[in-house]
Amino acid sequence: MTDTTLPAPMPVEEQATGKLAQSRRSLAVRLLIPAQVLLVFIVAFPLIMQIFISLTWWTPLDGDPWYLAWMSWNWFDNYTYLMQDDGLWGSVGRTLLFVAVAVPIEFFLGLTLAALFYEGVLGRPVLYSLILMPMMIVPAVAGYIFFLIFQQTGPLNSALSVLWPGMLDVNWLNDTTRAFVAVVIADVWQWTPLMFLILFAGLMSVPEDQMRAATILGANWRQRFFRIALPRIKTVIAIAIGLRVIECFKIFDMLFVMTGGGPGVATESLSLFLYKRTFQDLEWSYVASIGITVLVALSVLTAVLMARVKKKDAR
Amino acid sequence: MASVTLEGTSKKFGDFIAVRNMNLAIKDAEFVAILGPSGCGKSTTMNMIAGIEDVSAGTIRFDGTDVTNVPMKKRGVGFVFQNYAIFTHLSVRKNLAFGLEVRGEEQAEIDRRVGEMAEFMELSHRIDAPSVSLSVNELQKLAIGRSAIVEPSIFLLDEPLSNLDSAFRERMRSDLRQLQRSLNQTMIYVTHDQIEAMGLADRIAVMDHATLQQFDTPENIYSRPENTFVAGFIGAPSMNLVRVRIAERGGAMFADLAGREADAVALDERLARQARASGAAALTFGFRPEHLRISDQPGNGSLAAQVVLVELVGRRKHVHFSTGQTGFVGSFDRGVSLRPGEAAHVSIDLRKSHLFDPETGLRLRLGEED
Amino acid sequence: MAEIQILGVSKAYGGVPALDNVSLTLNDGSFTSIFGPPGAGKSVLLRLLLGLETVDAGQILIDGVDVTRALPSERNLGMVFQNLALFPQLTAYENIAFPLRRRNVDQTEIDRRIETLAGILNIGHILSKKPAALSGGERQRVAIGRALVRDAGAYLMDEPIAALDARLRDDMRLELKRLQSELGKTFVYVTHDCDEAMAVADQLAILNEGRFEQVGRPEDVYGDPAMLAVAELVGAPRISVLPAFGDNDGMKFALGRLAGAKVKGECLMALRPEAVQLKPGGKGPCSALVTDIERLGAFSIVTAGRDGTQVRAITDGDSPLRLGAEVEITVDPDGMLLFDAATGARHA
Repeated sequence: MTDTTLPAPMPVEEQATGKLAQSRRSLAVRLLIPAQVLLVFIVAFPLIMQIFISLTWWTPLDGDPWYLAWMSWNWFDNYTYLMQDDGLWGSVGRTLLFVAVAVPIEFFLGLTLAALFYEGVLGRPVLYSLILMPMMIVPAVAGYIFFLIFQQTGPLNSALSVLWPGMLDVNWLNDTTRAFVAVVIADVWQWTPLMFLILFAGLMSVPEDQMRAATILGANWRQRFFRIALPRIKTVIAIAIGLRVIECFKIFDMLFVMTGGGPGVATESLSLFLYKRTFQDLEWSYVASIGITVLVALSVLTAVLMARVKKKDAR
Repeated sequence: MASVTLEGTSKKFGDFIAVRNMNLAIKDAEFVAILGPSGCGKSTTMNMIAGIEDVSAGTIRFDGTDVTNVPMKKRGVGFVFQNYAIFTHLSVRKNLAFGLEVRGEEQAEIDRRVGEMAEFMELSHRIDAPSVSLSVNELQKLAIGRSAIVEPSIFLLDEPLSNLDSAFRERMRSDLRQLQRSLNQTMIYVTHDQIEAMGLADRIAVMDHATLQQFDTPENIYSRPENTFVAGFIGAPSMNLVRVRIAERGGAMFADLAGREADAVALDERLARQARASGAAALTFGFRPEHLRISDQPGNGSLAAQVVLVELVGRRKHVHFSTGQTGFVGSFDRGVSLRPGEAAHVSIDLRKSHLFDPETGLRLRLGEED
Repeated sequence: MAEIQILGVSKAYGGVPALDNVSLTLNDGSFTSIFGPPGAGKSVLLRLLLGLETVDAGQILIDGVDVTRALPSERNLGMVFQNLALFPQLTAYENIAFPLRRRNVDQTEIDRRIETLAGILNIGHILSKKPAALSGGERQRVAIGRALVRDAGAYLMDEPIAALDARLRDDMRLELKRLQSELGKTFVYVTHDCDEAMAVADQLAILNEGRFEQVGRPEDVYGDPAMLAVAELVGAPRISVLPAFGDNDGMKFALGRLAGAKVKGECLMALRPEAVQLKPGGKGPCSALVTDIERLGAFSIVTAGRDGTQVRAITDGDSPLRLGAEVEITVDPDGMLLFDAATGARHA
């Protein structure tokens, strides 16, 4: 007999408050202390170090070790500088544009694939594994593959000239706009499978009986999908998009290998910008201040989102 | 018009036969219950009628039209799932409106009919509430309302009352009867609860182990069961089915319980005729617990027995008797005073009792009046 | 051996009281049924007894020991859940052995206990199968076996046979009763089926809206309900409740007059369906028209009434009554229960 229990308000389990429970809790605390100390060391110490450095002019080029950085104290000069740094903001803008273009494409492609699998139009396990493969390739390697594909004398241009004879060999990676497009294509290829995976798992969790009930009431696949399945996976969609936005924002290795941020700064993401300032220009204190700023900004954003989610849950 | 006919319909899952060669002719506007123990194939049968499962062999017709290969979406039946399958992310109103919305009805018409159905189902006060906030009883009404609103001519219900508590079930039984009468639909109802089946159905299809055992009115199922399975399944406590030896003594026919002359029941004319005609030495004697009386004197159909156990079950007393090696159960009013260990004289209403073939389980009869 | 005492227990969820100062004594070796409508607090009470949740006020004692703050594992109670909760990947044998293995009980002891239980529960032939291959009734018995193998002080059961068909339920009821008397353990049995509750119990406790309305022997609770709520909850088909006025001529109500007024003045008159007799014919001091007949084989439920007032009666399965027929109503005085119209308390 099916055991699908009906939704009924279940009281939340309460914690035992007896003496026994209390002693168990203090034991738990004592067992966790070594791990906590380690975490503090790994997380808190570098954070404090970073804040410290960001308030100075220090770079390793000075020749002094970092704890002497106080000698070139500059209060918030780094921070005021970063507000006006066109290079920084340019890279932020490009990264945001990248996310705004790539993630929606990945979402719609992933959703379409998930829907096709869910409705049974596509089904072979072989096909399923094939679709997931791009995700399993190291991003840097994928970047290199696409670097080769998008070469002026590369396979993409050869294929295109077969379909549109007369089109001259397109210059992808040395044209500012086309390089951006190429990079978006590469990211979409690699990460659509992740969207597909998460969304498909979400669709599988839609109760089959509800879909059947909808069909018996006369709904076609479109009505079923948009009225029943999609609304039920709103949380899953939010998670998938949220995950991808965060990852996409940090994009580095694929870009580094494919274009190095070029041509010029056409494909320089925030991560690439920071990389160059840190390892090429050795402006460590400046980069430290950027890092702290990003941390503060993301914390505020997360707190706001969490507050909204909590309000929704309470309803 | 919406009659439902199954001809030679079967369903196999691999090697497992879930439904074997069903032949069922349900009339238009009839309320039919498919009754049987769990695993007998009743839900599978209904799923085939709805189109949720496809048919392994045979045909299904609605009003003579072959719908065996018509997909679920186009069959135009109403279906209430056992766990209701309410669209939990939608409000009560949206749930009710769904069937009409996907058909492209006008919004004003939808609102009107949703309002009517909510009234009919006594859900008007919750109409804009999220469906997850409803109690089990309200969910059940919503499930029925959602399917009923598109006015299907055939309405299928899969154990709809099994999740409800017994007090509410009584009320829902009469509500369902009213609904079916007012909508004049063909209603097919799967259940393992024989009280529900008896109380609601015009005819009951009793199934066991993938096979149809009997398809008849509740009265006939109760008083003229085809075989020992049906006899034992309908009625609580279930019919006593005792193996007896048939003997002729002094011109009268006797059924000896457990083969002992001392525990003999004198048969009346009808049963005696059946026993003689069968010529068998051993038969199965079936008599219902509610057809026993405590009497003072021996006579036709009476027996001396000892009380083994008395169970107080609601307004009745179930008394377990024993005669030598055989046991049987009687069901009496609470007022009856019997104690374990007492001796009693039990008389069986032979006009309502039956004889069955011990091998095939089939009920003996000579002609239609039996 | 375990005498359980519940003393003044209260529990609320988010300000809404689920149990309100309830007290109950379950004698050692007794079979107590807790019966009530859904939402009465039965499952909450079981969870508090088990220790899955803590009480807001009051005490729970097992054999005189205060276990109110003890963990579930310290209370030595066995439990059969409503949804069985059998492990699908283990065989029936392994399911039953599970609690013993967790306590590192010796294999020979495990075999011995399971063999005894298998005999009593008649599951010896299915021990090697997995739950998916078992019927509903077999699974139920395995679940009961798993609870019983633990040799606990007392056993709690939450609607253990609700999902079975009628015949199996009848058999299992008797089996549980027999098991309990053989084992001699305290059984606490929660159900929403009133017939079942009465059949199995030595002691019947009616729980309604977080309070015990009445506790006593089943026959006393049924025949002698202290409150109207108890009379309405216990008994199937439902008792008919009608406002009435008693004087020297009898009980006067909307459908006429019934003989024998045990109480004078305004009251609520409750009539047990099995005590209501309907005779064809419209004469007599009390009469009505048949408005509904439900034929259930062994008996029929006939509803008769006029102008919105209705009375339910039990008649023979093949009763000749028809819809719309005129009937004369008489009531057996044992089945007439009179309650105070204001408080719901029983008069007579």
